[in-house]
Amino acid sequence: MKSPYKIQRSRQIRSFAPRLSRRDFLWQAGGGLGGIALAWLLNGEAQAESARVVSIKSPYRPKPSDFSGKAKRVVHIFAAGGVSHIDTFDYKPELEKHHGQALTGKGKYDPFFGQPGNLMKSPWRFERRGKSGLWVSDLLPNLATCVDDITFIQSMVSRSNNHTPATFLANSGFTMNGYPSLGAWLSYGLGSENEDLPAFVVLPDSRGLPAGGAINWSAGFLPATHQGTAFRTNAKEPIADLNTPPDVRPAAREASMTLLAQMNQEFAERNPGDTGLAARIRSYELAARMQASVPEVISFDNESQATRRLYGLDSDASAGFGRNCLLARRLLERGVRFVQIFNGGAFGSPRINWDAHEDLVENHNKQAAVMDQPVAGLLKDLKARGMLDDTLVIWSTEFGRTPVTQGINGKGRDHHQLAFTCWLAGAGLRPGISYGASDEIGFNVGENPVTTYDFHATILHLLGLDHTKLTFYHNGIQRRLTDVHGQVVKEILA
Amino acid sequence: MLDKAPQFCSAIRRQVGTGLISAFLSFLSQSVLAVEFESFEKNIQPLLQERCVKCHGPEKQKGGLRLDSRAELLRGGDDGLVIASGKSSESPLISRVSGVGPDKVMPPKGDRLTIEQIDLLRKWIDLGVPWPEVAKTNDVQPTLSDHWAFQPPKLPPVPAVRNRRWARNPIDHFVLAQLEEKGLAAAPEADRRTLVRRLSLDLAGLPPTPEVVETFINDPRSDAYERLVDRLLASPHYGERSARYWLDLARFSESHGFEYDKPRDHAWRYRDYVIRSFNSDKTYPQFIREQLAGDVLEPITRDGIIASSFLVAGPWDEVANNQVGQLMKARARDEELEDVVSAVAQTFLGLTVNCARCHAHKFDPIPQADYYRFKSVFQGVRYGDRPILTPDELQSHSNQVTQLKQSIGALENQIAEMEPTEEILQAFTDSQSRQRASLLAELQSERGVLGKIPTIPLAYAGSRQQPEPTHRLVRGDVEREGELVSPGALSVVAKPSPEFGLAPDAPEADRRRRFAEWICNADHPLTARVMVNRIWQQHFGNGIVGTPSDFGVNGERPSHPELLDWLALQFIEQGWSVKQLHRLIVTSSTYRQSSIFNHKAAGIDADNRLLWHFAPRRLEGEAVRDAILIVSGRLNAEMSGASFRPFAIESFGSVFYKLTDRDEPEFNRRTIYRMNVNSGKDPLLDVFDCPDPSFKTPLRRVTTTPLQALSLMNNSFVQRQAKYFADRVNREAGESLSAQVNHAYLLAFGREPNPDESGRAALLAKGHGVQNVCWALLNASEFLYLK
Repeated sequence: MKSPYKIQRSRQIRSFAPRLSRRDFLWQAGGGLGGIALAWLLNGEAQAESARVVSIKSPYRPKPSDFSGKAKRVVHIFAAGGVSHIDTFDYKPELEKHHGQALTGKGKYDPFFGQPGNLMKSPWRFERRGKSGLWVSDLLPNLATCVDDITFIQSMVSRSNNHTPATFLANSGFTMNGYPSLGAWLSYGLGSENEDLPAFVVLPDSRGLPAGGAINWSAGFLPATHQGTAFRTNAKEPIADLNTPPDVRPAAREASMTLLAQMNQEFAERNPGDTGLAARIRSYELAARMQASVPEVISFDNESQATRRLYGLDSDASAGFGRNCLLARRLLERGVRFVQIFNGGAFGSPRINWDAHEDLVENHNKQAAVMDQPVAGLLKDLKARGMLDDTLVIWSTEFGRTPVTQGINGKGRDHHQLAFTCWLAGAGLRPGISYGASDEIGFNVGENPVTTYDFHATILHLLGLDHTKLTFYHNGIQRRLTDVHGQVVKEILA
Repeated sequence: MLDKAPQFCSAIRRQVGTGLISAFLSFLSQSVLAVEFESFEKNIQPLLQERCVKCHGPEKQKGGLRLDSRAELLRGGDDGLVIASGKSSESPLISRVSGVGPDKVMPPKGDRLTIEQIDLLRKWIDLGVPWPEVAKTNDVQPTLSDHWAFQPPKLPPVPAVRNRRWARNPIDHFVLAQLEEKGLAAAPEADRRTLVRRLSLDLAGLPPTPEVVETFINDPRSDAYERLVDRLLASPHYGERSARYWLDLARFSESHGFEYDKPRDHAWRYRDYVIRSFNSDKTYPQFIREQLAGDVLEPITRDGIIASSFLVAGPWDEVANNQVGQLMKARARDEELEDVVSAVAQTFLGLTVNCARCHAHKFDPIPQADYYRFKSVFQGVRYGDRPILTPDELQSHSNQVTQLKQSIGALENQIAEMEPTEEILQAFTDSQSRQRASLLAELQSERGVLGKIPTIPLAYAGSRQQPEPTHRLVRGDVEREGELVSPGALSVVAKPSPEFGLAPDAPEADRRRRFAEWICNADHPLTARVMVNRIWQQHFGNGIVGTPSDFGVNGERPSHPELLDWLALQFIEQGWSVKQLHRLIVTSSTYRQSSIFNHKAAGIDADNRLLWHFAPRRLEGEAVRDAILIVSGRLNAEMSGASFRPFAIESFGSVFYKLTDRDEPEFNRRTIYRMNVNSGKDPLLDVFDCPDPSFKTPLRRVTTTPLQALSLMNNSFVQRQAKYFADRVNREAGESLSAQVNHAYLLAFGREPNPDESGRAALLAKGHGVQNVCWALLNASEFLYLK
């Protein structure tokens, strides 16, 4: 069994934000948080050195990859509800020709709500964009300006046309509850570059949690260290229990921490050989550092007005989601390995995700107004800062939507898992290309199908991990993110 | 599979797999009727399956031909008939396999069929192509394996040891013999103060009170330790502690999971059942039987019905079950059944039978058919609430309600008939008025009785339906049905027989009853071994087999194989009493070792697999929370009943559990009574590695993270309990700060502080209040560790 604490060689990478020096940190901790336990921290470190306690590294420390990957960190935008491929990135002129006609020649068809209507052309105009000339509809005017940096996969297929199993599949490789999510696997495989912050941070949509909530960022059977830490972006306290309670005086906390450090130190000395005890001592130091780091990362004080506008913070529709995109950049800059941003919440009414059953135009216009500017802003900002070279941007959705309406004369589209679009951008990719294709109406895959397993295998590859080797023993099986499937889509690699 | 002596075994397997030669010999000597079965079941079907169906079956239909059902076979292919029933000489199938005639010989790849095989096909066609739709039971050939776990346990001799004085019971002989072999010695016995804390945390999941500690330390009786063990095993807290481990295995969830994650309001009854079962020391086979088939075992009891909740304790996709698309629905159903099969096989057999869903198990001798035999056993299991009344109780409940309703109806009619108009009312005699009044009174009283009949209590035990016969699914694909299978068990187990003699359409209840009996058979090579290993793991942190739900080829080898067998046989011998097993283990010298570190031993055996000392380990999240509550004096020891819900339930399409932290006795019950919902996990428990409820967790991981530290530092629950702890100390120890510190140490650590510790803590108490000392104690490693 692979120990999560096995000491491994660490790897140096370029850091974009200056890491807090110890002095800066102590200053911030002292100034910003009312002097928590400075003495304790210094004391703890000195004691750890003198007491010959086994040196325990942070549970988030970086680990070596299988080979040199181009991407060092990932931001994953998950657009919940099922974004229509044929109304965004997958242009289908044949649908215009056959608009209003019945669907034929596609065999037995089993849409989610079982009421296939007639073919419906996209209500949005498509246009070739950028130097690459890739098609994007008018629904996403800002993302349309980014196509030269994007690598589209137009031939995605999912195993389920039911939101939650399809979402679990997209995020964890399995349709059932509770398998480790992609971010947990990456945390397990690579650790973090900044031990003051969790390796895997989740930013739920400010409108609400996705269906299944924390199940979506579970560590499953991996050690809990690798579970996604959801930032509560609307709350005063971004991480549960981060802040020292207001009724605890700083001096009292400092004195208590000192006593605790002594207790734990002595107990560890009485019980040598147990690395868990040394890890506990270390965890309190990391906790104190996290108390200083998190407020710094969530503060936008140093962000310019131009940057805020770039992320759509000046518009009511996109401000909430835009803040998460900006926060994601700040987290990535500070060495967080994997940031997952949810675009869309659960399936209640009114709709707060892309699940356009009733009225495609109304729904997708509304969701695009939330997503388009911030995601485009994130791409541009990462590029401008030189981060796109070694940051992987993933944009995915659980499935696409039907080329036919839901119900005869319906205005919406139903779930469609047989062909849809996802895209990647950044490190290690061939930008401005489109891989794979759906058929003439976007119903089936026309060429080069890409399964979720292939998609995940490719992501791991970009990070320098072999998807067949990133394993964890659980109940009889060396489990993988890609189960027993998956092939790296080599054609999209730079 | 078959990693040892592979050639010999696979040679046997090949023979057994086709069984042709021996079957052919017996074929000649048997009656025609017997031949019908023998030839098809044993010879023809495997032959078709092995040599023909790959190209002419569900996956491919070359030449438009399928040979996997009689109807398809007789229908023929694109070129017409392939069989003339009763006339082998006129059947193209025979000429094709014989290679006579111009057409390509079949099968085109591999060896040609032998003369014997062709002869069998001829006779089969001449007999009229008998193809029993309901396959006979012996349709699965035994699978052979020399893997240790499939061999029956043998009673090993208790090994001799040099240090005989140290060994208290045979466990110690087995352990010490291995230590001595490596030139190691056992650690000295821990002191009584350590032992009482260890036992109490281990058996009850709670730290001992200072009184218990002092009483034990000062108990002069020679059997003081055994008495303490017995007292703890008799404590109701023992059941709460043991049940937590079991609920981890049972993936006990109090919500559905998936998109809606709706609460399961009645699932808690299973939790209470498990606690009751451990507390009453129910025999292990009875415990198994009830969970697999309690709802159909005569006499049917409430506990039996509740126990069968085990089957449906896993996640359930409500959206998929309600959707219109049949294919996706079928796939979701197939996932449900995999969850049931894997829970059963992993929990009771320590095997990952579910790995054989799409293909033969990659490591273990489990053919794909075995998975489908298991599936057939549980295929009638459906999800949902159900009444827990026994059939008799339900009948009498229904009789009572019917009677009352009838009587109320009759009274209402009578009264209605008397309903007076204005004139008649005046004409009412006194007696009529009195009669009417008395009827009204009677009506009211009957209605009252009806209103007081309690509603029928429910449990999340699911319903059962007679299922369709089960087919093997080619590559696990619901759209690709293979051959029919009968309910059965693991073909690698020779004794008890895995063949139930049941037809594919056997009654649902029979399947589960037979299956439960198969697992509970004392000859079963896995049942007792798997359970004794789990109990061992509870006490030492690691099992003798380090992969407690995988005794297969890919699992870990036992560190002490003879000890495992000895314990398994002892367990059976002692009437499958789990409490006796605990007692045996914790009264051993092995268990009583101190946790003292030994560099030499650590150099040889860093993981302490040889048990050269008692390895300290961190408490589970539940035990941490419970320990905090008992130390603060706020633990509400109320057992059983509906779970406490420390959250507000909000609904937005999906259900969201918005956590609240309320300071009320209801919320200070032991953590096992917290509603165990999928998406409403408590951050404090979460950071202490409490698993996702819907995941089968045979072994908790222990991680140490900054988030864990933050939780203990700042969590409002911990803050509050630290205050109560301080209040208690103040109340019980009086004014003196050093007395308060002393008492706080006793409560939290079960010991007094040394002068240094006392001085430091008193200084903190003086400067900032004793509450800060209490907070530090609750955060301390010593508080969180069992050693």
